[in-house]
Amino acid sequence: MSGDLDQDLRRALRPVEPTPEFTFRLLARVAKQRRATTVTGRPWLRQVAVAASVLLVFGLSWRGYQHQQRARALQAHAELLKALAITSRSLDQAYQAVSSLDAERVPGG
Amino acid sequence: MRRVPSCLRAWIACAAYVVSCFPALVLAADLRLPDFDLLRDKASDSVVISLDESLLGMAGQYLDPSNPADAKAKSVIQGLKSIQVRSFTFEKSYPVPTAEIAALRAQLMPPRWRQAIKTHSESDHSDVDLYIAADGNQAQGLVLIVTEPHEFTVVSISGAIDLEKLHSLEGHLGVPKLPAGK
Repeated sequence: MSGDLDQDLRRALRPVEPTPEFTFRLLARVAKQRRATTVTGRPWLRQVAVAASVLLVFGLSWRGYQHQQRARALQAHAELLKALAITSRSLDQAYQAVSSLDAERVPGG
Repeated sequence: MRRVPSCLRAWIACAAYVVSCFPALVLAADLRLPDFDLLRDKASDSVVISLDESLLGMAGQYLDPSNPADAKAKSVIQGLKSIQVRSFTFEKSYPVPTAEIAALRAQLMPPRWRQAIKTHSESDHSDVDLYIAADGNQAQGLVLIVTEPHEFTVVSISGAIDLEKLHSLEGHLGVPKLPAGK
């Protein structure tokens, strides 16, 4: 009796290799549960990721805009100095022209 | 008392605003300087600069007040609305752009504009025209047309202009100070 029981137990508890199909289904289910846990356990994670992406895009765009504005300002600065130099020189030519005409009109001047 | 409809009130407000701004709008109206494309093709050196109020403001931020030349330039551009410069240098004599000059002069009509200086030098083969638009005692617009044998320059400035300060830039900004008399 005890021998039969012993044999029955040994037969029932013998190591059995799972079928490849069982292994595949088990692993698929575990992966699915893990994904579900990640999203449902931390629902704010996706929002944080979206917000971070938006902030990153905005930050990069703003930085690019600032860079562009600085380049424009530097170019405007150089052009301003050149424009003022030409204006001053042209005004001086006008003054010179008037003063030379005055000198011609005044006898002995 | 009868209630005025809101859309009518908005129209009245708009009209009042436009009327109140009208003198400023007229004075702020910039001249259209020709691009002088033909001259640009023939010039050995050409400068085409158009700076509006916002660009002047941006440029002003980079003027260093501790530098005397920059400080002077900063005081000059305060109140200016725009600066436009067309300047061309030639190695040989060039065809004077009479059509463009005529188109420009057509914009410089009284009562807003008056010709302050018009000189012609036979010896130097040069012409200098200076037009001023004044609002009371304050110059609000300036146009200079300088024609020389190897150089042609047009400058247009709008806004509150201080001619003394502008002329005093000579010797600064890399402009050599010319001798007092010719």
